[in-house]
Amino acid sequence: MTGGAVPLIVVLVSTSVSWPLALYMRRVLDSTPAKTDRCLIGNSSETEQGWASYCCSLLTLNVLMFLLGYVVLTTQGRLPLNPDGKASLGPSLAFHTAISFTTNTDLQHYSGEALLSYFSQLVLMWLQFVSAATGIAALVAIARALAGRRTLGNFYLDLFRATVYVLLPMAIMWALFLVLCGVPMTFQAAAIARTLEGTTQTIARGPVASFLAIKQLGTNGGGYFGPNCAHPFENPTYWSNVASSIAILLIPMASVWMFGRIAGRARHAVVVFAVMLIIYLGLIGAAFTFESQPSPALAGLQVADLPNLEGKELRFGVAASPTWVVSTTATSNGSVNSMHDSLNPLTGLMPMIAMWLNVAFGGVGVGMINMFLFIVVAVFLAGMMVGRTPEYLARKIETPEMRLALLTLLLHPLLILGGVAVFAPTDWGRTTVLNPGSHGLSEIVYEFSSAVANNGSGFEGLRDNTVPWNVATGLAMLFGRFVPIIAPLAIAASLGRKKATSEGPGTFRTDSWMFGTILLATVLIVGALLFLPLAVLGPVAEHLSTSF
Amino acid sequence: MWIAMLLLGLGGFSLLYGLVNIIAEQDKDVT
Repeated sequence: MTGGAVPLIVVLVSTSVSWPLALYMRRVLDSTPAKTDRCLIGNSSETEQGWASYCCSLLTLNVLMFLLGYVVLTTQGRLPLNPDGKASLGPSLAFHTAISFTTNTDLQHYSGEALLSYFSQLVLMWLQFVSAATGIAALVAIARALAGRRTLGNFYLDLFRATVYVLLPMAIMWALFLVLCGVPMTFQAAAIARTLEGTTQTIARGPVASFLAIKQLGTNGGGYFGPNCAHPFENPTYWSNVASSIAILLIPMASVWMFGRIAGRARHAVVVFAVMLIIYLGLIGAAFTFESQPSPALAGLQVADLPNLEGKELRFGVAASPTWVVSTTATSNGSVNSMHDSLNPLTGLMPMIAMWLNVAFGGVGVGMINMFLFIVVAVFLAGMMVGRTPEYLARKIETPEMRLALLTLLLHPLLILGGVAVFAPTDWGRTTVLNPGSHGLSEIVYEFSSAVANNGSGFEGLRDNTVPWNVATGLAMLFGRFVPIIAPLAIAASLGRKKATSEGPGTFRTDSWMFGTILLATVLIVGALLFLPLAVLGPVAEHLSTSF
Repeated sequence: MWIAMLLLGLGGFSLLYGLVNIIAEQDKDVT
């Protein structure tokens, strides 16, 4: 496969830039409130919160976000900035979309250019900022707790700083870059063009550049247009594609470094980063290898020597698709620059694995939070193996923390497997898949994996705008988002309250490569054990049935 | 249907508030 430089450029640049970005994020997010903070959000910024109060503030803001999104989407026909006269959305689709953008998932059961007014797109853009900032705030609070501080800070101050000092300036710069690349940024109505045949064609446009910038930087992934970044107005050139691939990884990578700096364990962050990078590169390598094979549908034809070209934007180069496929699912971004439904069966398994594990950098802030849960389990296992009380960052891990960590880790497969178990054998799922057999099962599995992992990408080949799909994936997104934020906050606060033990020669160090190996094994074994049957029944069975 | 979907969302968030409450109560018991 040609164009192997794309993943190399993407990984090298994003890793290099993520370090100084993390230093900046730490400086602006974890300092005493400045005069500007007090001026802009008032004296409430001084109020320190415990973990429960922090969680309640976080949930309250997200309830308001959901309400705003729901009301706007169900009334957009009567609201301004609607030059093309788009009608209001139906209740179940509005519910799904509001939850989707509130939870940083951006799973879309609609085409933006066909159904949404400019006002709705702008409200969804605001949700993309605030939902990403919510993830960053939660991670900052967890890191503070693990650093042994008595309070976790103030949620509204953290949210404000993450939005105004980190996301907003980066998004403005990114939007300007996209405009230079040719992405539209206008409030004029759709353009009407006359074709050579003499018919008219409606060309959708709008405030696209501003929407795209935060979509990539905040690991949101919701497309302004239905085809997402495969659409030439969202991703016009080779370089816009490379830059977007970097933007997807930037803040998730920086989140890991920032966590280490705030918790006072920079070397520990290096090991965690390395484990994430190994998983990410492993998935990229596998995706490249499997996608360099011709599509099974073309076997025996003269074109069969080519890599699989189906569903790809060839203007980006063939290698750009597997790179994006892995980056967008490993980081919980969810934007696409090719059709995942057209990937070779085993390539299609790679994004599913990325979403099942959900820790190879993961979403903004929450990727590191997910990894924190695996760290707790890995430390516990290592402690049990050598017969010592498990300790993480010099604090003992005991039954309450383990109980919460395991329940949260098990919720992820429970929601995915439970959803598939309900939809695969019933008309709710069977009548909505466009392909029979294993591929159809993969479409259902992918949809639930994407929802629960708060990813938002679609395998497609699924008529998913139905009441059962909207309700089920809506609830899956809600619980898949907030339980893995609430429980880790409680765990970190519980650990932070404990007296720090002195580290001796017998202490299991969490900044060693031994720890990294155990952590990697824990992530892979837990992931493999929980999801192996789904992988075998879906993509693996499809591969075997088309290969022999 | 409009109200039902709204209540579904709010009900989901209520469960999450409940979860915070439960963990906080257990937290108190432990400490």
